[in-house]
Amino acid sequence: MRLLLADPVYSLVTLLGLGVGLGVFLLLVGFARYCWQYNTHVPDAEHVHVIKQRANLEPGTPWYDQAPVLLREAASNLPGVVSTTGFVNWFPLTAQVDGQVSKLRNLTTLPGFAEMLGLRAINGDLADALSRPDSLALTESAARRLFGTTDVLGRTVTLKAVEPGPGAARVAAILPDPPANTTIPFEALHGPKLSLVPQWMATEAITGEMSFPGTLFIRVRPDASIPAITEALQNAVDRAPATQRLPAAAKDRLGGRKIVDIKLAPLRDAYFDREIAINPFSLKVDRGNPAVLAGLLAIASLILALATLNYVNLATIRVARREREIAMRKVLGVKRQRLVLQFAAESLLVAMLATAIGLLLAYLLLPVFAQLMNRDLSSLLTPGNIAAAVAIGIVLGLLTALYPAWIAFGVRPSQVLAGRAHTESVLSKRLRQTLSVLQIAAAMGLASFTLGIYLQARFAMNASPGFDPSSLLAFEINEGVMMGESEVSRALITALSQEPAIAGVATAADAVGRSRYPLSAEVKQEGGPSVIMDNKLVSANFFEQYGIRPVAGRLFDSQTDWKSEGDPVVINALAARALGFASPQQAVGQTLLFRSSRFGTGPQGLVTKRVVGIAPEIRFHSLREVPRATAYEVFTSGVTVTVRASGSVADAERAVRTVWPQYYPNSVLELSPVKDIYAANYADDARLARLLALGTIIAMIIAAFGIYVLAADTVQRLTAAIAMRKLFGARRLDIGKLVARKIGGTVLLSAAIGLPIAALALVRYFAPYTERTPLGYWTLVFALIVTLAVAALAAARHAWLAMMLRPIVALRV
Amino acid sequence: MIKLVRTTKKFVGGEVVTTALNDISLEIAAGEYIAVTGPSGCGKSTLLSILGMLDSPDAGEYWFEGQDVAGWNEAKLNELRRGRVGFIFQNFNLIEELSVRENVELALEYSDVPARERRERVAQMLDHLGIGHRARHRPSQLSGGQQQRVAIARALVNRPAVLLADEPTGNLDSAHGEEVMRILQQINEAGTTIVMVTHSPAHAARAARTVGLIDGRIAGTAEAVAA
Repeated sequence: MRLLLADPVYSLVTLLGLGVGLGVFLLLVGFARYCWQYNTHVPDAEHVHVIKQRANLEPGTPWYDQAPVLLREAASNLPGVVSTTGFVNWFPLTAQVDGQVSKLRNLTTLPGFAEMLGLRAINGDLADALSRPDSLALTESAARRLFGTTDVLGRTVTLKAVEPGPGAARVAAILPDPPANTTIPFEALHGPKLSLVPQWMATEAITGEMSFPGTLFIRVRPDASIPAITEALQNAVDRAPATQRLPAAAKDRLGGRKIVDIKLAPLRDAYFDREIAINPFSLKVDRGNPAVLAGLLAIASLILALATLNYVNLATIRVARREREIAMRKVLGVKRQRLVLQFAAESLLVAMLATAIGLLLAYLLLPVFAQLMNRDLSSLLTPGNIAAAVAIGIVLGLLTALYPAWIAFGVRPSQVLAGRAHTESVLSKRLRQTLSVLQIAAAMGLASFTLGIYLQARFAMNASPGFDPSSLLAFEINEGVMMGESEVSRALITALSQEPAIAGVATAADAVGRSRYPLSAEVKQEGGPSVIMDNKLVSANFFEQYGIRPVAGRLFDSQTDWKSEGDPVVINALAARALGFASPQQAVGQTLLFRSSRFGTGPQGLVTKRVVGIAPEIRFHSLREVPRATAYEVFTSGVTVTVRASGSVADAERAVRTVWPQYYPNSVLELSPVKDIYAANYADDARLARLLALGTIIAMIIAAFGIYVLAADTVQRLTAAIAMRKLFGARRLDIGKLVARKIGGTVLLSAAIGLPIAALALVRYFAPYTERTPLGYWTLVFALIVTLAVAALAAARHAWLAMMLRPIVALRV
Repeated sequence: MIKLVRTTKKFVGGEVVTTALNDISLEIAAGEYIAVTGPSGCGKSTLLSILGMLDSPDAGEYWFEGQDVAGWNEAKLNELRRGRVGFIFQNFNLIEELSVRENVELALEYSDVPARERRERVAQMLDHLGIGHRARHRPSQLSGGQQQRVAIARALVNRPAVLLADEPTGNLDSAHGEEVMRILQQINEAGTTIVMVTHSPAHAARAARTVGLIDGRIAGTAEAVAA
């Protein structure tokens, strides 16, 4: 402690460098642990599997973590299966308390749900809550949100559904909140018998006769054969009445593929399951990317390594400064063990203080970090994690003592006490310089990569979607799940259209940039090749309201193309080319054969359509996906409503918010600018860029510490040379240039190592994008400039000291 | 050429004030060879640093080639010193990271001598001192005598008017020390003024004049007998 206090600048640099590195390491590793522990709250989660399905009737349909609910019963009798359960999410509810309507994240549970998830009521009777028609269970936070207290057993919640009408339920149980790292989040649970649930839905949830999809879990014995269970479930689906009812022609078109593919996925891996797509029945669950997590762990390790190397570097320089003390101790007969103990104790003290700083930093940064990661990380700093941090600090302290102690062993008293200082070996000096170079290279590479991701995310967010989104707002009706025109929705749209702040209203099945209803169709000319294309369902005035103009022919006209799924079709230029037309103009007026499961699975599924025009490219998909052939059809029952502002967007928003409750008093309006919907595709990239930016800043700070130390060391080593140069007439500027050359050389060497690696990383990152920011590789130059600037700042003090060095020093060395 | 008039230099360390030079007056003519002797701490090195314009006196005058430089700032002193004063030291002060040739060239690096001429002059000087074959070596690869010859080459390569030598034989054995003394003698004979600090009476006797210092004062001067 005395040593630390004796040199406060050194101590501050040491402690802050190591503390900041440890703090960031703790946060990132804590986050990785959080991700790996998804669903561990489920008892014996390793043996619980989710049943996934992929329907093959629609070409290109993705996998969903849902399967026909009839499989629950079918699975329960299979060998190796311990139990089965699940939930359905067909019935979104809103809760009304004191006139305030809010969404309730409710699940309709199937038998065995509470047992499978190990749910225990804090208060009340959970079995009662899930079986009675007038009861439900609330989590503590939902109870607090709705009533302001958790003491709500027996109280009544006014519930409203999209249909059929308002009802009420008694709170029969209070549950602890599910952990944040779960793929089964909920606020309220109830059984299918809840009085609000329509009878047919309740029956379907239990029997699955209509093959509706639900989320199903099966618990298996450790020795169970997953392939055998999967095969049995596949057979059950193949034999299901809904499957059997399919016409032979539809089955023939599958070309030997199953109508529905079934597979099992471990519940523990659900968080990282990237192949799962979302549909209106999906829970809003975050999914993680294992590659990104591995990258974050690599950054965490890199930052800790940088901080540690920086500390070792500093400690080694400290040994060099303490040569005389060490030499005197050796002369006085200090034993090796004593010397090791002394260094270990000093290093441990520094590591423990740095750990405390790191933990404090982690605690302070946690809210910002949680926001950056878009996760509830409030439980990150558990006693276990803090104990692990202290253990890491101790290990780090002992490890970092080794090298300085080894250098101390090498101090030769005869040399040092004779005034011939700097007994550090050439190898040791080179090693330290290499460490500095690596530090700076890592910071520079990271900075370049981060900036590349940031610029690409910005580029993608601001890339033209094919129309001007600035005056467009979008929202969903019927909770986004109930496709179909209703009097209420028609009345709402009419009312909105009459608002002066609103220039027009269009509807579509899906918003641009979102794919909750991924429909596709098989399209061909008579005698031409079949083309699988995206099938977008839009209202007749969609193109008009979005301000989209045709490439050829015309787009839909609300006066003539009013009939849903009528004869006219609009395709894009890609579709025209794929269908064999030499130019978009040639496709206009042509008749196409259209096959989509929406029109039925039998012969009636094949309809003829007439191409009325060619639409320009509209970005329904992210820039990571190649633009696809697309066919637009008129559809009047879309759940996504787009409003075009006649003037101020804020006025249009106010108008929607005023009109909405008059037609949907039981629903919560979720209104957002259209731009935000497709920009959400890049939210993960933007978050990653922000996180990497944090990492880069930390790495830069640590590198700056490293450069500061390097500059100090350089100037110290060059003192005699600088004095001699001054003696022979060097000006201050000459000395400044000399130091700048030394530090600049180190930075350029670091650039030679760090920037090619960053360039490779950028190449890999940009690869999936179909369009890239033109500034992508300029980030390498920018990172170099930034690093040079940081180096200049970090080295400024010692460069100045060197410039001010008086040549008389030469006579005293 | 050089004249000190009632020059004083003090060093303050906390509450302790040390008078390194106390009211010294000394005149050195161009081409002279002077030895400065005295016990440790008598002010020899301080005298040398003032003569070399590395430090300024606190009081008195210092005339160098007709200009009173006492009170000049570092930049002006630097300008005057460049090419006019050469230095050699007891511990050679060669830069280990540079080769022998680069060490010598260092003295010309901040002058206006073109690069080509610099290289020629360095090569000539190294050859003159018999170490041309060691031009590419690092200082640590040379013997002590060779290192001091490199230091002398560096001091002379810009053809200074005055050569200041601080214990030039202090780190050398007698044979190498004698060799250095012979070289200094030749340099002086070629017209360069030399001021040499030494503890060795024998080496001091090689100078034309000896100045004895005790406690920062000149204890007396002895006219040397020209050999």
